Amino acid sequence: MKWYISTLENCNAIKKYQNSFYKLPNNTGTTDYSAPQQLQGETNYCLVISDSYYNKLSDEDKAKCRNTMPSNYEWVYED
Amino acid sequence: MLFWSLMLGLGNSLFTTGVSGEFSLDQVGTMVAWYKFNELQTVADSDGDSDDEVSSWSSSFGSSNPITQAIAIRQPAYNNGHLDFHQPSQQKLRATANFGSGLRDFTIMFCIQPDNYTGNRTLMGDQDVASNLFRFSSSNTNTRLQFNGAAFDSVASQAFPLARFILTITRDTSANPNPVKIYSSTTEVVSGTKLFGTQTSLATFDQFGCQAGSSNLYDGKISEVAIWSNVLTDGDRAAAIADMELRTGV
Repeated sequence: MKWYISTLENCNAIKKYQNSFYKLPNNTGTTDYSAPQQLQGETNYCLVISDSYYNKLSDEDKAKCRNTMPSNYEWVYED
Repeated sequence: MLFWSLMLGLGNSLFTTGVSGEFSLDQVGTMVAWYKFNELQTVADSDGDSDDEVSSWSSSFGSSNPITQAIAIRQPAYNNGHLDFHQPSQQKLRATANFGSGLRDFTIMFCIQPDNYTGNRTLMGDQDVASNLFRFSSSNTNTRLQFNGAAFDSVASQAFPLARFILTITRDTSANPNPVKIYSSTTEVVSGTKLFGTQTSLATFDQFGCQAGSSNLYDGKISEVAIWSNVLTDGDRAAAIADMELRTGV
């Protein structure tokens, strides 16, 4: 699993290609493999990329991926 | 006839499966939803990784009010009827409507097996209201039940296990203050007497595995959930726990 970090526009483009790779949407209610989520405190978005699809990315897009989940990917609400 | 069946050993199944065969959770209390073990689940390999995920789980009682997840990476894995939530993948399932259209008195019964208690692990939340939740609070003894601006942090009298077990939460607004009780299997481990004072507000919850958004996610298995809009009697609660244990292999 990789975390692709870029603009919303770029994340949506990768989302579309990754969905095609997994033949989504399917007939069991799954619409997307992953969906962009804005990183807490940033303007950038994050999209989860599978290891299988990662190998299909261009070198330019691979460079935008991290191997570990950004700490601000999980939105932490104040109690 | 029964006598001879017993003498011949034919009655064994009557007794070993008697609870499951003759008792049903929807026969007690005022049930509003029942996400039953290994039933009405939509299971498919959505992400092509050769393991199955659960994209939808409908209630076996009343309107189906399915809990769903349309994004593959956020669908819990299917594990022989148990739903396995992977916290780093932000896995959760959300209903189309609040359970019971909001709950005043309630009994909520889970069959769960947490992988850990290392962070805030939310079993149940409200997608639209971040402060409505039930969670384990970074500990195998500490929990928080919170809604309508009030929170009840409690320390259980015994640790919650890592093995599969039945967790039951009740709230009784007929008493003042509204007591909340939490049971680990049949043992009452929390009896809250300070929760919510005299307020009788509705508690709204509509999802499992997460607080609002993607916050404080659960990590582990959820095998079954039953929700009633009243407090079950001691006898009904014990029967319900025994039935759920039998079905889920506790």
